[in-house]
Amino acid sequence: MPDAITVTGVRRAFDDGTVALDGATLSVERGSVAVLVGPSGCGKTTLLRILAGLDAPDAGTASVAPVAGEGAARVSIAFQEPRLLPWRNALRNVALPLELARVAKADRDARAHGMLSLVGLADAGRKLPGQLSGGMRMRVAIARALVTRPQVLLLDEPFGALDEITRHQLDDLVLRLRAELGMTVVLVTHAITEAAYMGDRVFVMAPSPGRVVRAFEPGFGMRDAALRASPRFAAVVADLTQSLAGAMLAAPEAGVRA
Amino acid sequence: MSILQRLAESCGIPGAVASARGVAAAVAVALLAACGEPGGETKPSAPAGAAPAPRAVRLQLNWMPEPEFGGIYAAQQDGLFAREGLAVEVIAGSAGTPTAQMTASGQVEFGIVGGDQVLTLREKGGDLVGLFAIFQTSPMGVMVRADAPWKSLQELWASDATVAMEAGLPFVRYLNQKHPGGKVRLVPTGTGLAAFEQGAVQAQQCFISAEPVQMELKGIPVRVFSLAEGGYDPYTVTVATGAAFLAKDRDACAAFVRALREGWARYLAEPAKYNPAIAKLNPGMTLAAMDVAARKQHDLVAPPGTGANEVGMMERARWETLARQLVELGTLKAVPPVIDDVFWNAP
Amino acid sequence: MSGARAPAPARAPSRAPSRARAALAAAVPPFAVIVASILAWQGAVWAFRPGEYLLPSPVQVAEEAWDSRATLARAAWLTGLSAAGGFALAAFAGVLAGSVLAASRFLMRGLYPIATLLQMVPLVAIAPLLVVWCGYGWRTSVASAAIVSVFPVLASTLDGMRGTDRGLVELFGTLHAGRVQRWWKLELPWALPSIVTGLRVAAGLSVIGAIVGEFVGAFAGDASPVGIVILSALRENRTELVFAAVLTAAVVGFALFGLVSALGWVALRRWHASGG
Ligand SMILES: Nc1ncnc2c1ncn2[C@@H]1O[C@H](COP(=O)(O)OP(=O)(O)O)[C@@H](O)[C@H]1O
Ligand SMILES: [Mg+2]
Repeated sequence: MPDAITVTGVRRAFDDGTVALDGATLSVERGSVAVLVGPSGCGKTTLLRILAGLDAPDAGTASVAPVAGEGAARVSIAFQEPRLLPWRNALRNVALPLELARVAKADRDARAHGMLSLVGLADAGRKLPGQLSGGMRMRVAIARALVTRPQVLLLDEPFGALDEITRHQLDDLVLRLRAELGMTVVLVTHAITEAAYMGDRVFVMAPSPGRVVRAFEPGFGMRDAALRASPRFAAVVADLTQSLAGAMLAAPEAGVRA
Repeated sequence: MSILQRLAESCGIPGAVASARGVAAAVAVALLAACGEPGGETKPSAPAGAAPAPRAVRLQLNWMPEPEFGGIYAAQQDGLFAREGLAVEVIAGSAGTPTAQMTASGQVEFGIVGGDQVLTLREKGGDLVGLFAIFQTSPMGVMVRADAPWKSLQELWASDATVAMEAGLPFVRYLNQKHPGGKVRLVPTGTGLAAFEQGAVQAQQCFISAEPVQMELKGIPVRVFSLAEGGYDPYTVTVATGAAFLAKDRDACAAFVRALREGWARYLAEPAKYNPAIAKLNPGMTLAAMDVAARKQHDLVAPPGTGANEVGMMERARWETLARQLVELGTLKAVPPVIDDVFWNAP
Repeated sequence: MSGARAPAPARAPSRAPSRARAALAAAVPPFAVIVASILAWQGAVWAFRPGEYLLPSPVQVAEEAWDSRATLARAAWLTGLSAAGGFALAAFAGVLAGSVLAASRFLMRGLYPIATLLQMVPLVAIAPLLVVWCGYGWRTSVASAAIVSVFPVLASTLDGMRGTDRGLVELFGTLHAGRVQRWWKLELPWALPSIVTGLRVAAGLSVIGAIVGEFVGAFAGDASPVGIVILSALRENRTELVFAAVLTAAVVGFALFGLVSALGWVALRRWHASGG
């Protein structure tokens, strides 16, 4: 498979002098799940925002390749928070991207409803965000990100605020949707087990300045509850933990060198 | 309260300000009266006989200093009040000044009020007594442009002209009653003379001796319909006091009226001598306009044949006529049983 | 006043009685204050006997209000129409102007201070000009009502829109929303609770504005608005009618305020805290 995402030597320094990224390099194969993991402040969100087109690198390149025969890649991003419009019910929140793209109402409602069913909220379409639980709100946000049929889905610590069981459910949901919709997924997390479970490739990032220090390929095919309890999973988690600890230690040194 | 609306007309001060102030002032007066001793009653009388310190009293005007108060300022200028043992503070007013309420409640010893107000306030427990009627013939009138089509108030009233005239004034009721079925459209006078000048209103209530003069000086010829000639002729500008003050201090009231009478005699004889001082107090009216106004008002204050000591004198029959008219208009419930309580001609 | 607001809608009918009780409980304090004020007023009249011409008693005012009920009802209707018209204009113009200012930092910096200054021009001073511009009749009172009530709407719109959640603005950016779409689908609804607050203030002010306009520019006749009734009553020394007319104006103001509050509640109750 060709690469859907290529990031080469990206540098991003903010006006206040913070160097969020410097020399960040990675590539993501089409149809795979890439995980960015690292301590907070290492530039994960900045990198994701650059991929989403919300920010631009000061140096280096970051590109999302369109699928063959299309003009521009369709990229969707789901933020750390659900970012739902509180006055719109779940269905109309999901339909928002289509509405803004002036898709006819009947069409967009049908598609939004389909997405809600896909994330397991077929019956919650008429509920307002205030009437939904945190996990349900996040599902609505993901349904909204998916309703435009993106080729690339960017997820920024989407389940960080949720309890572990819900998080596991939603992780499995993302993997299933990825398979059904044939998307490339970039998932940002600071949870090591989540990184190990989700990633076809896992990029460990270090701060000051933010960069990729290691790439893993856990190599799990099927993911399920049994995998979480298996020794090979534990081994990958241990490996990741160690290299993350190293990334943390490397931080001040790297800072001095920079 | 025939003066109220005139502020706006001759000085351009918005009637709305005045109206809002009027409400506020009325409330303030009410509170003051409800909470405190009326000022006039706490004043000790001067001991008789011994060379007395001048007696301090206040006279509240309901309008700016203008020729209609000429005799008052003449008395002041020539020391006539002082000669009577009075130190008079003349307080300029504005359209909203509730002079009747202030005088009835004793906050000032003397106030300028409309004759109709003396009667209506008495019916509500505000015991005003008229002391001195400045105008023997009411100066109230309605002015129209000289080239206006109406030859009489009756014709004007039958038209659909817009007339700047304060609703609620008895003479408006009078005109409505006298010319029933009128189609005129009444509007407040708060925009001053501007609306009349621009033609937004075609007729405007006025003092015969004031606004028409100002219009003529501006080069706008006007015609005036006199209300007195039309049959409504109250003592429009009356110096009044509270019944309580009169009962307690009849001498002071008499002295005050004596000085006023003399002041008016002097002003009528020689207004130009006193107008400069008045003009200095009222930058809104030119000296030239004051001189013309003084000439125009002369016969209304002192109709030909009036003796020098008859200026300001009131007649029982006139008060009775006014009371009857007000009852007919529904402004007054009943003619006062004792008309003589309503006014007092000082000897 | 917010104390009188109805509680959140109950989902189960069984809760209805408790809702009614809560509404009743909320109405008790203001009601008690009103009753106490009237008693104190009547007591003061008995104790100090200021004279009817200075301060009528509540009983006299009530009698006058009853005797003049036809006049007052017509006046309330006319003034209410002017106030409502002015309020509607102000609501429209205020939201529009607030939106434009919120959309542009440059315009806001340049125009908002001027708008603030305009707010400080006393209406009574410009009311005569309104007559010159709008002519006599309802136009002047409507314009006057609109002028006093536009600023709270503008300010609350501006405030609400400028507070739009940055995250949602960013979301709309990623969805390639147009500027008008962002305004209509995000900023306007986001600002709605704030706008409703401004509208409630404006509703009360609009009645005052209408009356000031009437003071200078309304027609007097068989059907006079509240401003003219007040002026006439003042000139006739009918203090009790002045009080009755002022109370009528207060009732009109409260009715408008209540109407706007109710509409705001309906619009917001489902998703916003201030709606419940
Ligand atoms: N808009 C910004 N202006 C200045 N500094 C920023 C901005 N956004 C992020 N940063 C800084 O850049 C660094 C990386 O931030 P971020 O990408 O959010 O990290 P992460 O998502 O890995 O926690 C942090 O030090 C953060 O404070
Ligand atoms: Mg982050």
